[in-house]
Amino acid sequence: MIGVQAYGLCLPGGLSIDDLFMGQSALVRLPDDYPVVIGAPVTESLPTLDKCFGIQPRAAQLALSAVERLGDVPADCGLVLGMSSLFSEPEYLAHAMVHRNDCQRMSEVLGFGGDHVLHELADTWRITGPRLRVDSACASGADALIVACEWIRHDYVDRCLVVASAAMLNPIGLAVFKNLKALSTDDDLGASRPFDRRRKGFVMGEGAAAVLLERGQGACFSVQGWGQSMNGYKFTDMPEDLSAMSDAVRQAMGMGLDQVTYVSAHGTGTPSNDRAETMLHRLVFGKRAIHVPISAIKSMTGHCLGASSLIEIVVAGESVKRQMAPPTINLDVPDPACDLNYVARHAIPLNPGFALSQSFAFGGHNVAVMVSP
Amino acid sequence: MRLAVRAVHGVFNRELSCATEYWTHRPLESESRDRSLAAQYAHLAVSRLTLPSKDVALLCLSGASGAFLKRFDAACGPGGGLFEQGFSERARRIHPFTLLWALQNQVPAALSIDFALKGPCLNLFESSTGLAHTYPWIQSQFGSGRTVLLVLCAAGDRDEERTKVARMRASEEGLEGAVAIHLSPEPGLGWLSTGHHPVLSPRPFREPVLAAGEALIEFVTSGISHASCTFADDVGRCLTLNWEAA
Repeated sequence: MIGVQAYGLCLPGGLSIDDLFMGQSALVRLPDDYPVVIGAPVTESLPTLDKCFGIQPRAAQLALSAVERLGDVPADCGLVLGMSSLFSEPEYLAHAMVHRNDCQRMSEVLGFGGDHVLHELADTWRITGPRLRVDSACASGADALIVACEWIRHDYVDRCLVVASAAMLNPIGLAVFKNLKALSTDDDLGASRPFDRRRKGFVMGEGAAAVLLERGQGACFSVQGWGQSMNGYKFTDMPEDLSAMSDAVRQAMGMGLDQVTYVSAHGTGTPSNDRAETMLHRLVFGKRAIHVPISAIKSMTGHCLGASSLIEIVVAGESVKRQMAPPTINLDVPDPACDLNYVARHAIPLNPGFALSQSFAFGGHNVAVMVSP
Repeated sequence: MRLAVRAVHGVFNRELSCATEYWTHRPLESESRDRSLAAQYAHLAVSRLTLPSKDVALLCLSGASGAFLKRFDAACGPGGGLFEQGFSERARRIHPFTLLWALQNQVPAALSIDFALKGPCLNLFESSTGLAHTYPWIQSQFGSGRTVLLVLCAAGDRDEERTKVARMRASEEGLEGAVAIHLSPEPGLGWLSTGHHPVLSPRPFREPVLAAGEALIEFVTSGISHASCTFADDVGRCLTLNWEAA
């Protein structure tokens, strides 16, 4: 068992974790003069710290905020950063488009490449242990946690800071996801509606999470198991054959399947994801599937991409600790294809037990983590 | 920890100075609509290995996957700026696959799709020295009865990617390609181990991710019993790669 001793969250719209259990939404409409029109809401943009080194990725600033909220970081810990692509950040792209042939000027944006953000984080907290950045798109945060757990399990480090951050809530990020037809096209502030029959895609969010792991029981909650797999199917579509996804979930649960009393779904609100996740749960939990409560906090936070999986693991840990499941807001019209025990509209009490948090990323990464109080 | 190298093959844009048993010279020029150059190189390298199972664990160290700024050219205004007035209208011209192409997990995703790989996956991007810290993860894969497919790849010797690193590079000639290495607990061609040095090198230099793969191929080809080399990343952290022939 690996314990989460402390965590810090930087949630969309400035929400707190308590707000999530109250069903608060971070969604707002884009201003009329926003550089790109997507026809859907987004989450409220987050303020960032002033401390900058050159042109700093916004995702790095959110990561710094999350670690600041976590509290003291021991210098001898390791650091694993889950951060997906930074290419869309407007400062980088606008600069690079103009100066792409100028060696001197391009060197001004090197902070967006390599392991610069990783080193900046480590140096800010004077971390002396090993450091690593992983990138598996929307599963980056969960994969970072898994690497850190493996480090601790194999005595590579005694404690480890895990950070995940994403900031694609910008004109480029919105444009490329819109062009791929992944974003909701619903202008309603209730547009993030996982498992609802009216769902039309995900709503863009941004945020960051940081957790401090140590061997043994955690002060906040504990990590009991984890699993990873690839779909080997398509970049964005869910496969009909759910065996790879179920492999990851079963690895995570190990012998603890019967002890899982809550599931934090990936729950993006895209038609295919929510349908596939429903089928997956029937496959994994069998007759118990209709009894295990499931919720999708993306209904409140939007999709925080690379940070979402670590945020959701923390919320799942808090859920089993509080014995309370956060709601899936905007789930008002049931979809016959999604017919499980979704926690709709309001939080509900949970039986004591474990929680499963799962992420299914572009590229076919499946990652699941099981947590206990 | 020593990792047994069961098989290795590289595909490069230029010829290496060693015998060709473990590498192929195959320069690629054209990007496909949904596959970056690095992903295409990785595909070629992996296709030269015989993998025992689709359940192999995939460990990918991707460098620059290719130049991509040109994919946004259609969205630039008359003055050449991206965010000039009218961006919203011009943004529709960005090809829908641009996102998939620019994702930094493009290479493992493409390999998983192309070879129906369904095992666990870990992807590091532009991390020259990260390999040393992946051993616990690899150890767990071995413990679960899996072997590991390690892929090192990069296609950064063009357009803005070349500009970015030009000031840090030792030579003008950039290596592009991919090296696929099949790792297992059982002996094979030899053993690979790495050392990590938190002590900063006096001259920070960003070695391409691919350099470790190139070095391994040279060690294997040479038949030498023991060899090692050291790489530094762009803040001067060093990775030592050690080879011991079987």
